[in-house]
Amino acid sequence: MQLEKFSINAYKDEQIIMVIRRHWFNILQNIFSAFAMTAFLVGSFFYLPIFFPSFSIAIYHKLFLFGETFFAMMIWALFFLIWIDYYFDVWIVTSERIINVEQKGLFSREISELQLEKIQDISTEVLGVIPTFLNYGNIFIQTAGEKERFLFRCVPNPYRIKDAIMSLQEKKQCKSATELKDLIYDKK
Amino acid sequence: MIFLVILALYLILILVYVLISFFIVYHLVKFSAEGELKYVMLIVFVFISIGLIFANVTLFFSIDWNTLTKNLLI
Repeated sequence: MQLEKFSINAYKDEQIIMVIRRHWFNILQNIFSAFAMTAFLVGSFFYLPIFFPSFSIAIYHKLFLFGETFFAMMIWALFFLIWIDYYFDVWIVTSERIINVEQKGLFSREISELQLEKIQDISTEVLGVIPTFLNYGNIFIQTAGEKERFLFRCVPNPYRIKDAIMSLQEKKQCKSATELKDLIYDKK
Repeated sequence: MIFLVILALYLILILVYVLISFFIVYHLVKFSAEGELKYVMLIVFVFISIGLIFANVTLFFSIDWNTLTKNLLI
């Protein structure tokens, strides 16, 4: 996968290490309201005509079906709005930096990035029974940059991600140290 | 007269729905990273949305709104 596919310009020799999205349980929580509406729609389709016999009269029956299809349209759009909020909210860990693409609804998209060498501290937080059982939680990255705290919200395998970022940061620091050493010896 | 009022309100709602659908499609086309999933999402969304709008508009125009409103007001 390439960074350009996320509408982000890549550095020279930059490689994507991980693409992280929120845990599936998080979208399940958000989509629950849409599922409840769908259950109401299906239930009302079968049971409302039983409780209100006037719906079987042709003119009212058409009105009833019109209402049902209109409600279905709203639920369908809601499903995709929730999906877009989940699917386009993404954290990309590359060999050079961490990029946070935050999608809020349809009209707000924020992209922020953090260089690996600016990371000061990483901590993870898994709170509650379900997150512990399903192994998802938050990762906080303390930085020396403009944005002081970087948050990975409700991501799966937070401990593994934390270890991966830390080892990437170490590699990056070793590489920088070697480059500096080479530069000093070359000048001599 | 009453039909025109209902029609105007309905057109506004449909227009809002079409606009939302347009922006959903725009996001799916512009920002999707995974090629295959992008096309699956697009096809599913567009076809079902068109089907629902078509069914809804057909039902709207099949209803005799003047008779219905008279019946409901009496």
